Amino acid sequence: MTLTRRDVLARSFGAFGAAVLAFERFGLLNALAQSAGDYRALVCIFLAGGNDSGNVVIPYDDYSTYASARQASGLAIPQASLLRITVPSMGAEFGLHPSLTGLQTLWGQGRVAVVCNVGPLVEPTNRDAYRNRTVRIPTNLFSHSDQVNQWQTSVAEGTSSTGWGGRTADRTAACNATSFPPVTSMAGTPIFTIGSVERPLAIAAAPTRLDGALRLDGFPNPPDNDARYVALQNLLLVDQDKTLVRGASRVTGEAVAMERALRAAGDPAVPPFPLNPRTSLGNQLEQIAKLISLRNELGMCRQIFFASLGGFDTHNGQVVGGNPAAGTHAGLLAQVSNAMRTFYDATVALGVASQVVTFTLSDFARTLVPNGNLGTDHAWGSHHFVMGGSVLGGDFYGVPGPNGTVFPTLAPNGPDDTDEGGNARGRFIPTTATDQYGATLAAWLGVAGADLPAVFPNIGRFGPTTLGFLG
Amino acid sequence: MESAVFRVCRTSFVGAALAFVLLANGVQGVDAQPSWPDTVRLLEQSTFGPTAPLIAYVQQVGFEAFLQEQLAAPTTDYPDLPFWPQNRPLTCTGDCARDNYTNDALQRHLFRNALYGQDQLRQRVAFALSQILVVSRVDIPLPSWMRGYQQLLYRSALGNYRQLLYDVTLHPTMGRFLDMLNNRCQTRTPPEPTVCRNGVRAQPNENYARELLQLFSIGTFALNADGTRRLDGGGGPIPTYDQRTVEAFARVFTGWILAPALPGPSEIGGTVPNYRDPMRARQDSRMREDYHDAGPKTLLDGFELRGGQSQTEELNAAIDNIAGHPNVAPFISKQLIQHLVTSNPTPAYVARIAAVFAAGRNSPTQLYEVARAIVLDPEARGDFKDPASEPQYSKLREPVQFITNILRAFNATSDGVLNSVSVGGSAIGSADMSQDLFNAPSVFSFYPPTARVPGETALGPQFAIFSSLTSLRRANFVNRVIFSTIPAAAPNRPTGTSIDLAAWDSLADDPDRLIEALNGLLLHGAMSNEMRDAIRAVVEGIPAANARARVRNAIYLIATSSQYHVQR
Repeated sequence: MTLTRRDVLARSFGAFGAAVLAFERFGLLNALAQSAGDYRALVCIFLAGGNDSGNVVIPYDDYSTYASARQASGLAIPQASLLRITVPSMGAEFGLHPSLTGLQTLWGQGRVAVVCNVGPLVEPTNRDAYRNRTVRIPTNLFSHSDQVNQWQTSVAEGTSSTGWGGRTADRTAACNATSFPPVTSMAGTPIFTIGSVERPLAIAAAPTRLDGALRLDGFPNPPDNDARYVALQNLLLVDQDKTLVRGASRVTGEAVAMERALRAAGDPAVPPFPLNPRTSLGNQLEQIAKLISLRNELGMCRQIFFASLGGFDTHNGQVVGGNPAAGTHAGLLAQVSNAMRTFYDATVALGVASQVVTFTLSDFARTLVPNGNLGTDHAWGSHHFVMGGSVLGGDFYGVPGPNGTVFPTLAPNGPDDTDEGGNARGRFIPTTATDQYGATLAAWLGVAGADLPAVFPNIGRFGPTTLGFLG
Repeated sequence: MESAVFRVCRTSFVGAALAFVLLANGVQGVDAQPSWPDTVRLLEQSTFGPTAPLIAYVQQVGFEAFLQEQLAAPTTDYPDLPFWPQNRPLTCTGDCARDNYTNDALQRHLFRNALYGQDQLRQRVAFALSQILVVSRVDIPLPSWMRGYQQLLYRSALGNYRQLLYDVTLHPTMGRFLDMLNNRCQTRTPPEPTVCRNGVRAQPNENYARELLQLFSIGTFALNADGTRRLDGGGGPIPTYDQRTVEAFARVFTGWILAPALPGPSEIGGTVPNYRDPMRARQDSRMREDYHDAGPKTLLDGFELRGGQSQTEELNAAIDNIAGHPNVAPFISKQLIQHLVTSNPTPAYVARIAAVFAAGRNSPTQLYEVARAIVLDPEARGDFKDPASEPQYSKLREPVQFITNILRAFNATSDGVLNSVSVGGSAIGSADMSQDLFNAPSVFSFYPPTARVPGETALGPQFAIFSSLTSLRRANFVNRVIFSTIPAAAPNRPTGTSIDLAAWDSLADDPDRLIEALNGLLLHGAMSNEMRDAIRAVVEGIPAANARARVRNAIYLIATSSQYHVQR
């Protein structure tokens, strides 16, 4: 009997049926005739709080425009400290934040691209349309919770109970040979990870061993004949008429099943991890690399992973006074760069560098014009990194805006700003929709063109559908 | 710690448990006494968990008297922590570093207060408020800075909400967390000293203005009195404010700085920043409020501040403008209902509580009246909620509530070291279950009020931190405290945590009686027959001579069940 995860979930006691299957398969899968080459994974890194991408990707040739907005308040990264990158499509030099040495190296190898001025949009929006309200704009702009939801659901108006990671999994997981969940999170169960069918498995990050990344104490190994273990499972199947009880049992049922499955996982080494010293994001990406190393044993052909790093809501003390290349934001970016670079190297070592694409999301960018506390406030469109062997790296991507390029005009009260007048702060209107960014990634993972509107309901409003940064 | 009144009225644990069995067998209590199941439910909603003596006591005095006593009960305190310098001196290590540079002491006290304090209602409401009016270690590195703010929430939990908003706004800890502290007016071009005497080139920080409106008071959409959204002619929601409003409030909230520095600890000397007293208006040498933006401002619903008033006058007017907004009553009332009783209140329930909130606007005990109305409301009360008619009624116990409910039910002895706990390689504290006390990831706290139950349309805010990982960690906590103990581990875990099951052993020879008594204490008698059968099979499989094993297995299965995770 061959059951897919979808078949299992369709059973009435889905989470529970999945249990049995998962651990049986784990032991059997080495013998399965699965095409080992057919594997692809997306890795989402959420930069929580709203990353100031205005200090991540900085014009080098046109540095003075940037500096005039940020230098007086002490936030301009000095031109001499920028990590220079050549951007062919812009015909110009740009600079990365000096903390991003690892990503600069990968940029030079063509493994990293930047997608510019992306954000939630209800429909294509320019400054006149925004100011005259002749377009619909995303709900509660500049609010953390709303923009986080919009980035993760790709629904910028109204609400959605599922995220685009989960919906992408709904449409790509059919080729997975076991009931191991296609979406695995190192950072809880954000809406990005929730599909209509698929639900995320949340596990502990490294240095927790992979075979202990879920653990249920107090039972023998194997536990299957333990009366209390059996009763624990049976209790998850009763009282299904109470909505919240049913929801809790769904989560616990999957947890118990997958705990059982992961007992056989060991703790594979994934050099060059671990990082020294360890970091939060490094630990998360290390655990993801371990799971990827077991892709064949787990019977996976399509996977989505989620990791998150907080601290980006830099209203205050974003940089050190007098030394804008140092401080809170610089530390966070160093962590991101080191973890991403190491993760890329681990995928090379595992032979899957071209089969794994890593990308960033964040609440929003921050005001080009800082506030008076060496900090920045909430804005809108932001720049993002995409990394992997299949990335057509070393260039910018996106939809050109009013200045004819994908990179916004860094001028308060300029053609890309929501704000007007002398107090304008540079909250740039995205020219690229999260829908297009997500659709490019989802299509690469395997969502058919005809299915993209089911994952990105508003994708039809934007052109082009995908952005071409993946080969 | 325990009040005299509880001691006097204490009945034995088994006595109380048996009392329930008798009730369940049809022996009626005294007229007008609340039933055992309804009393258990009330205590789940209004305290950190029912105990057998407390159930018996509340049954005796009735709900109304119990709640009035709770209002009068002396306020629990956090320890008075000395103020140390922001940067830890190299001489401060070990216990000194733990006590003055981590939240350990506050976390222990929160748990001990919840386990043993008598002002349970106040603490429970304060805990809810701490998740609405959030500050976090993310930006408040010293426990002495955190302590005063949390004490303010204890003190104000049954007080007046407008006053609380004012006190929170001027609290230096909130000032630091959301950047109203040192927020400064923008110098005009050309300079206008009467508007901004000593400003900066940059614009005022918007952080506090935005989150005060979005999270602490009115929310982003206009609400009806029942908490549902008002709709415009096209059927769309109506924003309560826009970016211009945020910028106007950001200008109101300028000019506040820390009160004069405090003396440092005796070991160190010198002075340290004042995170004890309310922030004060910055003044220049001629006593002019030189950091404040004194220009006119347009606040909510077109309310005009004419400018030129004192900072304090403006602040009061701005807080009045917010507190007077019709959204506050339904916005805050619904969240308090969700924290105490059910994630899915009916609009009519929200409307009844919002009316109490609004009527109490000028009452010094407004939040008591709101909490009382929440737990005495017909929608909160009753012995049993029928899943056929109210399938979504209930809330998931959040980690702190889950931990304290179990420990209180079984007469635990604990040092309160329950936030971050690793025993035998297993992480089982509240932080490990994604509720790290005083260290929420952001001002959005641990979970959003809008989160849904996985796979359902019902709201279930606490499900946002109920994952495969945390679900099993909850089970592992139960496994640890029911089958063993959290052992003492010097120096940071002085006594550990252990429960007392001695009184339960005598019930173990009769599995039905044992299960029924646990059902009464943990599930207010609502256990289904299917659940009872599954547990009985396990209990009966253990020799009767092994009474404690029977008790432990039964408790484990109930306490780890979804039926117990969900307070219904």
